[in-house]
Amino acid sequence: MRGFEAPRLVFSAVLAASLCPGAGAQQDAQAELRRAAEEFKVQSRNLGLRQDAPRRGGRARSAPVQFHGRLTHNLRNDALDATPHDVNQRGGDKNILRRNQFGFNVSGPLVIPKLYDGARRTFFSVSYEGVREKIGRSYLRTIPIVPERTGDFSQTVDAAGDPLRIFDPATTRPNPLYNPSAGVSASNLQFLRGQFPGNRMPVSRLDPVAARMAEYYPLPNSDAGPFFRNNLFVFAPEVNTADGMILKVDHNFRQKQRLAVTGSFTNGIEAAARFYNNPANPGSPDRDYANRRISTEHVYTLSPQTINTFSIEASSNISDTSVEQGDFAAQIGLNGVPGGSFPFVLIDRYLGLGRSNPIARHARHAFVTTNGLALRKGKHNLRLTAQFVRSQVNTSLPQYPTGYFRFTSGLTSLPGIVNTGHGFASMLMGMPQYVEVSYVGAPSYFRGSRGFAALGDNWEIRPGLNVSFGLNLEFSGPRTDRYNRMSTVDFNAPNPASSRPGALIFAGLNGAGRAFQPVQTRWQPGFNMAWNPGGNRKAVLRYSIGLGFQGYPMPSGQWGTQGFNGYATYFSQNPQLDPALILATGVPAPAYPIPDLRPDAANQTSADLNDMSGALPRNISSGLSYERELPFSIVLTASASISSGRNVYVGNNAVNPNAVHPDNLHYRDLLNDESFIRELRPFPQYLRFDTNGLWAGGRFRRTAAAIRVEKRTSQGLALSANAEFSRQFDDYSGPYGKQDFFNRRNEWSLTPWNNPIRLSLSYMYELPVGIGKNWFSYQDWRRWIISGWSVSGMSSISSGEPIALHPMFNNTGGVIQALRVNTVDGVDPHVRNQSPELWFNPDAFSHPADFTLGSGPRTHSTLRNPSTQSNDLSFAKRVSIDQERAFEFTASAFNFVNLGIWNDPDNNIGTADSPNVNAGRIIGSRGGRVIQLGLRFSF
Amino acid sequence: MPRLLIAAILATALHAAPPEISGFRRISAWIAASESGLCSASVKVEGKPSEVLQCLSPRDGLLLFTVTDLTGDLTLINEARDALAAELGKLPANTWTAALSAQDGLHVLSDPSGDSAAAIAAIRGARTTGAAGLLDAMEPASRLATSVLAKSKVRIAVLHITDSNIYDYREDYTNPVINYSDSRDLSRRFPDALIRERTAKLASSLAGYDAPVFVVHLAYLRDRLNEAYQLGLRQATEATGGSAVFCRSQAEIPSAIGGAMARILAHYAIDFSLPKDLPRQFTIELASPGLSPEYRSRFSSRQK
Repeated sequence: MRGFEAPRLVFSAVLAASLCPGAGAQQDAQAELRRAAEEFKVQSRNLGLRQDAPRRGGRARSAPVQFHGRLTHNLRNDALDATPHDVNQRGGDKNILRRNQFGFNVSGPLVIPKLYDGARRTFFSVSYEGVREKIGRSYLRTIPIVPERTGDFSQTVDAAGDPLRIFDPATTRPNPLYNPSAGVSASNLQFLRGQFPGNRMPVSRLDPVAARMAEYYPLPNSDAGPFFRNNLFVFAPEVNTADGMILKVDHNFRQKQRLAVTGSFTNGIEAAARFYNNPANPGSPDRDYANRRISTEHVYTLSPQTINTFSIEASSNISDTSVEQGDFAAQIGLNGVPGGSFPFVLIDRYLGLGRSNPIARHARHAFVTTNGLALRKGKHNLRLTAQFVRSQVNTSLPQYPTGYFRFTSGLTSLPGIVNTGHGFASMLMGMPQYVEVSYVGAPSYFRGSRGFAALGDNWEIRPGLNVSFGLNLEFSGPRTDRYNRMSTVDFNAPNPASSRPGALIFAGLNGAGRAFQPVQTRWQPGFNMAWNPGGNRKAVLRYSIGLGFQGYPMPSGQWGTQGFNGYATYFSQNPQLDPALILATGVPAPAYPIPDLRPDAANQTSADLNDMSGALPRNISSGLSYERELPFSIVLTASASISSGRNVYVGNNAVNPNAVHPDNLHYRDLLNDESFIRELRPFPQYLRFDTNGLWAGGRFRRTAAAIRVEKRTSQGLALSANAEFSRQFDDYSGPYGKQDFFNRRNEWSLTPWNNPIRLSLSYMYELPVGIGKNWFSYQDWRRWIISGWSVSGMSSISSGEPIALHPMFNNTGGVIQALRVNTVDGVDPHVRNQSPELWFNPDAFSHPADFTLGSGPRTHSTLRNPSTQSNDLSFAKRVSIDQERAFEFTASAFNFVNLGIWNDPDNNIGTADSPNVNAGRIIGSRGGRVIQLGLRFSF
Repeated sequence: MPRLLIAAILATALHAAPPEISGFRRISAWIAASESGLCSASVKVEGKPSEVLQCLSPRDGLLLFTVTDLTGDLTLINEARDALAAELGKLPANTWTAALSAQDGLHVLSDPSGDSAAAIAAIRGARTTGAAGLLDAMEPASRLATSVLAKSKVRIAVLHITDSNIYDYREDYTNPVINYSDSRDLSRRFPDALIRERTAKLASSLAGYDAPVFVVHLAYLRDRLNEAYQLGLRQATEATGGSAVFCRSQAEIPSAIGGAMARILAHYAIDFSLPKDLPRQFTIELASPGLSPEYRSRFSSRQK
């Protein structure tokens, strides 16, 4: 059959014929049409399709009440899946997986026998879904080898496999021969420190608290390597339970009004996989959650050209997380920490103990009111919309209630010499570099508002040319707290302790407002155009451009409440010489009780800093596309777009108002001295600032082009292929952070997650076999086997993301937080036969010298990680029982070709003395085929 | 729970309705503008000759059911109303129009009449809010059309004008996420299964009726679910000898509606007798010396 592009000749001929029939024939036709019209009335009445149908038993006769719906069950089991590649490589077995997902849906008119007949007026739909899942999780991590736990580092090696020397901090002494003008080196040491004999720490020297902490490590169970690394293979179950329901009811009031109510809820538990089977487990905590949502929408048709829609929505998402509680601090002998969870311990190179945020409760509520008026005026279609949103975040999140202890290699190193010392050795000595303990006085009750008023006009200038304009006035109110329990550092406030600018201010106190930013209003214009060039209906050219702003966010957590909550902080005065404290002596009590509303309450801490500028993220985007319908039901679309943004919210990796300028690197080892480097900071009273990812300071630009081909046939095939080419640059996205906060241009680099080429293919095909199809249209029993098959699939290939090279050591005295590598002139970073054995040439890069910046880019412009692929396929077999009822079996395979995706290459570049032997190499792959079976009965 | 589920499924499944065979069926056919004489054609059913009971040509009366299912953007709705009014306004005298609405169940807006003004007024005044209703209206519209054609000597066609989006249905075809926290939910990786199942059912039931069904969709949508929906609509209409077209721009709406009207006006309706002992699904061949007609060749028996 041809489509609607039936030749106009046909139409003309038929029209001419029908306009000029013989008089008799015309009379016959009219008589037959009158007869048909009468029959129409009879049959439409019989079928209950008329509003004027005679009433029977108090209600209009109508079509039989019909309910539709389905029952579903989806099943996954590890017996169906392929063994994941990463598990295979470890020689392990498949992870256990038991997943059952079941549910139902029913919808139809709301009818309550003898009480209410809502046919044609009131309708309902109810859906339920439950999930019961147990899934095995596998991770490969590095923990201390057994000898190390008693201080024996004789087997410990560096990345090159050479012995790693551990030094005794008790033997530290100034080097009388040190030449300050030459800089610290192995031949010109500033401090002398003796190596532990045999690289073994005497057991008597181990800190008793640290020794008891170390007992919580499980034994290594893997030799994946290299050099004792990747020695813990975690294989643990994660259990998830969820139950949810959606209920919808809508009612029509006469012809003009309609009211719809939708309610939904979800309750669930996520019991996370455990890395260790003891209270020191560093894995995610268990989480309970409950989500609720209800919305009401009223639609009023004032006239066929004017419709008003008013809606109110309320939603609530509550989340509780918790880990094992007990008197663990006392059990390990750690004094001075108030919490009941295991202390959070971070150790360089190793998986730590305990975790941050062990107990949290968040309740996020939102109330949204919207009104939209759509009306037609001549060739203009106008839309007026107004919305108001009120948000609430009630949260309690003590970050480190039992303390956070960070151990680095410096205190057991040879001062000033990289690739010496070990974080775990420092821990065994009970010498943390940094300690922080959270004291939470009360939960926070944050509030925020935003809204907009918008006017849009879609104007048909002439047939084939439509333009639409939109103008949106958006307002955004900053975050407040119900009890004004908020604070921030104000750079203009004098600090009484240091007489320097920059002090803590508190909402509603001493002249400060309830919020720290102004209410912002922004105009957001937009323009769209659709044009059929030359009046050709088969071709459309579209163009769009728009400007948009992001409002103030409402983050979870208790960031920005310092003073009302305390962050007692203890840090090393020199990370190579002095510990923050000694574990065995415990953590000192805070000097001031909570609440501590002194302007200098945040001094000598990582202070919470709110961006008080009122800047909001701004995006401009424009796009052009050309769509053309070709013969054989093929549609081709070519498009190009460009977008850019500024004031993008960034975090501590991308903004640091307290950064020390890199020019100060010439001070070299003096920078390790806190008393020295402090004076180089713009705000010496603070260690650093925590912006919580909410500092409006990033920029990006993205350009993209795409080609899409679609094919849809009456034989049941729908196919679309898409190719996208893009480049995105920014100055904030890491992955490790900024090297130089004072040279924004030098940070402009490819976005780490930019995949420059993405190819995708999507298809659906009703197989042409069985009843009503071209092939094997058997009528007998074979139809049960042959008929009703369909296949659906999606495949995609993405080129790899840019490689971000990283130096193994960072000896910059803490001035540079994200050091880069150097590029080596004249050495091609690409390799001829790229393979996992050598993905890129590490010789093209070198480790920067101590106290110097790396010359390489943040992300490499041409080196890319391996490409990724996904190939998913689903077969369905439908068995119809009758017109309304059917079973459908589905078998879906994800990564059905069982393709392994290579891991990213090792991007760590070592020093000349201690090269990383794995640099440029890929170790292992991941992924594996997953199968899900499903059964559905629909009625 | 699984046992209960299986028991419920089996209990419901065992109540299948038996098929019913009618006495005659109707073929919708088209010939090129330069051709004539299709009414002398012969018909074979499953390869065996069958008696042609009646042949109605474009000169004969035509009853057009215009079913609107418009709940979305007023811009497109108004364009469609204007285009439809223009087409109805120039219909020949042998074409009568009835207007129906698909919202909240199929119902009649205006009875068939040679005066298109009534239908135009009814369509312009029809409600444009609420849930999409096309999928639920197509089967009863075809049932009504077939009931009427069984007792009158006119051609009948059904034209659906819709802007329906699969997300706008009251019945839940989109398999929405209920438990948002279930990050490993793979059941929604292929969410089109529900829609394919629904449209396959629809195609199966429409194949049991005789009036050709046409759909003009005002807004082509590209997401996977609407792709499946639109593909299903195309298959369902083609099972009746009709077709579906999807407008990619506002400017395409008038020509799409005009094209559908031209196709409807030009169609022949050939009634043929049904031999006994036909299988539930059967094919026909329409042969006319010197002509190469396009026609609907596959039928299935109607079910109660």
